[in-house]
Amino acid sequence: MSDALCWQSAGTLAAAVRRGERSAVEVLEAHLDRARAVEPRLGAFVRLCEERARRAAEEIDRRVAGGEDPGPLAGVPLGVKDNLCVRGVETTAASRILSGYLPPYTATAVARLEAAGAVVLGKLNLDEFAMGSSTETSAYGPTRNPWDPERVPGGSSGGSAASVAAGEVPLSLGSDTGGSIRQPAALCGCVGVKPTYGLVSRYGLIAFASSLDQVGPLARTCADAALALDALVGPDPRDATSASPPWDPAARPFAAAVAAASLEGRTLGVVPEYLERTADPEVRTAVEKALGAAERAGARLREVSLRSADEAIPAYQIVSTAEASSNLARYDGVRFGRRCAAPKDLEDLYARTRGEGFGREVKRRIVLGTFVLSSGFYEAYYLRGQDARRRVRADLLAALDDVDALVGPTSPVPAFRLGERLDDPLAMYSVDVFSVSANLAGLPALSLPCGFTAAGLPVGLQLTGRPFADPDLLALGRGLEEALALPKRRPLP
Amino acid sequence: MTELDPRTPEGIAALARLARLALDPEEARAFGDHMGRMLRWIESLPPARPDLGEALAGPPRRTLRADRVRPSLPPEESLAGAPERAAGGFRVPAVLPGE
Repeated sequence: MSDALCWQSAGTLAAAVRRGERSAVEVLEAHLDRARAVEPRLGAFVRLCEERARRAAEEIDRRVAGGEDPGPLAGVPLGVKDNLCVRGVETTAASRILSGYLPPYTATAVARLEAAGAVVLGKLNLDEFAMGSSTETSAYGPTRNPWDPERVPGGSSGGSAASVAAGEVPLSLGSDTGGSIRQPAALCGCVGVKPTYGLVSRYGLIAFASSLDQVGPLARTCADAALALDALVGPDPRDATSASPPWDPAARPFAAAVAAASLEGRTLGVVPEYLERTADPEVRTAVEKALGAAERAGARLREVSLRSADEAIPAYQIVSTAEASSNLARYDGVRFGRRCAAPKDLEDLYARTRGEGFGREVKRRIVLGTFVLSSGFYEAYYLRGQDARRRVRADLLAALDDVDALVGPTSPVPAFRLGERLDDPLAMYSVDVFSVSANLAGLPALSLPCGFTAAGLPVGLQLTGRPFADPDLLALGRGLEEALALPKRRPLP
Repeated sequence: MTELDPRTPEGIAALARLARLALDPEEARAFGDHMGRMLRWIESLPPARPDLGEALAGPPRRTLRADRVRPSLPPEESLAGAPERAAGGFRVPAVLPGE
């Protein structure tokens, strides 16, 4: 029975806890048992917060017993990517340089889900500082794909996706700078949402590239992602880039949109450039089947061209590394985190602390970012990237003029083998070819499962929408789930 | 190109110095090869247009919060994660000789 709890939706679990039919402690213990059983094969969590979680679950149960409503996520176990701060819980961004760091504050996104009743079960693995597409650059070692442990879960939110797909938690938080929620969601067979830039507070998110980073949920269904988004969205005075959407976040717009979901009369834009660049024929076939299912459910398909498709990755590399080189300057061995032993002087302290503390991929990006921002190269490289970013945004917005969302593959390939791309950074970066544009343009995008390859690897379908059309995007996602009616499969028995 | 050319070992070393980043020789060699391929990719983009003011504005400007004094992290909590501290501050090696 306890294992069955681990495959229930967040919505079902919360409803049972709110009605007193299940205790939050019972729900928590079932998920902790599942995590203990699968973690040796998966490595999704970098640490479990068992005692903290038990205290939180007991408090939820006390409130229910006292006649209070602990909120729409009452007792829902939550996994948190380890680049989101939780007060007093070690938070490292999977980097040696932050080993032992105990944040003195909690990220707004985590605090809002906890306020809605969620119980933080633990911190989840990621590529170091969220820089990667496979969760192999983590200082803790890789997370494995629950559908094939010889393959990567995608990244950088690989732990967030793998834990949800494997039934360790029904809900997790990730961050998405160039596809880091959507691509692992696709490779692990779950739903991942990158909201419109500014819709979810970045306060307490360890910054990678601040003009691209967004926090978002991963879940097994669009309805569960919507449940989380209703708690997450809304302005935050502690994040100057947080935005007020043109709808009332307090009115639970995501739940309402998902409840009324239908594809009837909706128009989906199919981007031929994306299908042409889908390297794996099985991914392309799964996506084309999904498009057929959407049409049969009443959606209209319209071809829309994105001429800037090939500009997105180089533009992303320029902008993200420039911002990363600046954001990561704060890790200098002075105020927090790791410090090298016996520095000769201040320069030696900085250079050796950073040299010892950062992994190779992070250093590579700092060097490139330093170059594109350096005097004499700024115009030729950084401004060139910013100009391309402008074209990508204009192109996407124009494409969205006549359609409700763009639809296509999330990733050009399914989960690849561990180590397959690790020594070839350009091959690794190329798997983000369909996902980086939404970050460059600040648009909402989500990935949902649309099928499996013959080898049993999940394939993800990406939807991209207009700014602040996030509730409608979830409704389209829900409509596609209904149209696809994929058989329920469970990995890691 | 100049001394910052990331395709050369000297350029990588100069950029690493600018970034206050110690690299081992194997890392520096690997980065040089990778940077050459990255720059070819980047150079496939058209040159930037001359007036980039709008593009450089980045994400839309947000309203800033009022500039008021408000409670903040107490000094002892700010210092709690420091590798070394002294006299209510962060301790670092001497910046000037003889200090």
